[in-house]
Amino acid sequence: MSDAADGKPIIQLRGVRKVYRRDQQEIPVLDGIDLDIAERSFEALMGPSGSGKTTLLNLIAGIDRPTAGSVKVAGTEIQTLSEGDLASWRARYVGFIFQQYNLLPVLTAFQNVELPLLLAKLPRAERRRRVETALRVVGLADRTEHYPRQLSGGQEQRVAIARAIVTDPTIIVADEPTGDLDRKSGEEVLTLLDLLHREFGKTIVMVTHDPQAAERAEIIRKLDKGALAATERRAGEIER
Amino acid sequence: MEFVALIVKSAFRNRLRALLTAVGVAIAIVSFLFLRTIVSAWNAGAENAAADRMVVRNRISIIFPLPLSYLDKVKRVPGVTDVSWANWFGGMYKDQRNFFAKFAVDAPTYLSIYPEMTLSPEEKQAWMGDRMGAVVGAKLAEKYGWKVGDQIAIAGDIYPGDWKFTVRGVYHSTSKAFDERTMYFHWKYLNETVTEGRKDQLGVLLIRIGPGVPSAQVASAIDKQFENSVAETRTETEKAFQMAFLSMVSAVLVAIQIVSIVVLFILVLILANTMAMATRERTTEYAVLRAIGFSPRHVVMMVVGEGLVIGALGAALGVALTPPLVEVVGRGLEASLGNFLDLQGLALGPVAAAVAVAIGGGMLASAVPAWRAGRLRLVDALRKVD
Ligand SMILES: Nc1ncnc2c1ncn2[C@@H]1O[C@H](COP(=O)(O)OP(=O)(O)OP(=O)(O)O)[C@@H](O)[C@H]1O
Ligand SMILES: [Mg+2]
Repeated sequence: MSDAADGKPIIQLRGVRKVYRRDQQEIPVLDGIDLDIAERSFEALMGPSGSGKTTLLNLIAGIDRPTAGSVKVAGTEIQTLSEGDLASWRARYVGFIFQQYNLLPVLTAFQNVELPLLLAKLPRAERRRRVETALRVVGLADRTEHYPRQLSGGQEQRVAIARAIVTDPTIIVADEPTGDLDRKSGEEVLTLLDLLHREFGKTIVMVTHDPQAAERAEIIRKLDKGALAATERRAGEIER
Repeated sequence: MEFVALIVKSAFRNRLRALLTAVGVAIAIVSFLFLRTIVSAWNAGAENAAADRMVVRNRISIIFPLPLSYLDKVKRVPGVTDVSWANWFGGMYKDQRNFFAKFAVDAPTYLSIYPEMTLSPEEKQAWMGDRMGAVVGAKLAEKYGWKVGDQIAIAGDIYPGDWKFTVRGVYHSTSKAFDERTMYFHWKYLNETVTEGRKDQLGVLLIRIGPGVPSAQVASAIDKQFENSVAETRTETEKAFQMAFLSMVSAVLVAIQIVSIVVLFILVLILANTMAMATRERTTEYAVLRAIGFSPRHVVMMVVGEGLVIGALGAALGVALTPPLVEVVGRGLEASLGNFLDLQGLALGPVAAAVAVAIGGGMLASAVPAWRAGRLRLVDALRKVD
């Protein structure tokens, strides 16, 4: 079941089960997932709606806990952490990219990107430097004072990417990051993820419905009814 | 941007609602402080009353007079050092709206019992020398532009007729309890002018007791003396008299106190409502913050901080708006209630209480929403939009 990936795995799931309880009813969502994701890899997660992609991603990112099994990310068994510790763990290791960007409307692009750094107790100048760097990476150095409503969807998502990378996390999780975008903006976002992976060595796990988007990843995993069904490696990437 | 800036920006996410809430809080604070100011002005007015002065009035009601013959009898009561008297005159100057108190008094004894009422020796002499002379308070003189020598015509009601007085002096007061909006003229003139059946009647007797003389003893001695007579008396200290004079007002005061407390409760409710709305619609936002590493504690701090910010803004607004209101409305009240109110300006105590309630209330009001936001299940909250 488990796939041997290149390099040492930074994400390791063993026997992961996830059951949601609604009223008296138990809804099994993930059933016996074993998964290794190598450091510095770019993986896409596909599958029909309701197959459990978001649930799996949430487990990897430490915003949900498995019903059974273990989730080890960057050397930590994250299901053992308390809520508070898990929060600092996320701040340190994970960058989030959401389908709806989820920027705070009352904050400028700059301030949105700065948000995760508020937790880091960095000096003001250092924060500024990092925020500017992140915004430069996503090509929005000239939009720092814009509010989300003054930005296009593609630009908003790029701000969200800057927010995800500003703390220099080890892994980046993205749940349908291009789902709300037109083809061109979607391409820009994917190119950015590619850059983060290639140039900055980030481990990226991206959920997508779009086969063309998935093509950007090295490995495409298919989820079906809560189980990993198939793994497709893109030849060119493996040779690297 | 600092954490505090994030809280302030979040608090004004919905600017109109935040401002309306702050204004609501401000109105509550203004009401509270205003009511408190009136209550303390009332109490201060009573506190200012002299302890060695007493008032003897008709037991049935202040509107019934006492016979002149009581004067000597009261004078002879042990402990009584001075006796004077005054009759409430009523009357109207030009227009119904020009309300001010007018008393017919026995000038020499009155001035000696009320040393806080000061006249220059010339004015005093002029008043004593003019049967139809009157003195008016400085504020009253200022209001109507009266000068010494002016004629004042008063239309009588309790004492019918057209009365004419000449201003012989403008008195000043050395005490807050003695106001400068009253007119005094000679009781003798009144007594000579009224019809036969109303002669030799005294409105109230004003007495001074010797130092250390227990007022209760004097009061019972006087009242006992007139028991079972045509005009039974009630003798009280000046302070008690002031308190009782508008006894229904003290019921009003209690009501005011209760209302002012209720107002503070309303304040907390206004805030609680806003905070509940504000946090409910931002569930996803809090979940996003949690996802990027904010702990439950951070989120709780943010929500409580927002309540605090709005509460503090409302408190600041309220405290800023109260003095002008007290000035305008309070002075009006003081003008018509005369020496019963002693407006002291904003006291630090109530201001501190109001500000503490607004800020504490803001935090209290956001406690439940904050607790909810802190306990948020991330996957569910994020799914709301996803
Ligand atoms: N918090 C929850 N409570 C109850 N059921 C849940 C919860 N979260 C997910 N589910 C259920 O788990 C299943 C998988 O959900 P999930 O969101 O992981 O699917 P998905 O593959 O991401 O779907 P989509 O492509 O539509 O986003 C669905 O049937 C969903 O209804
Ligand atoms: Mg999903």
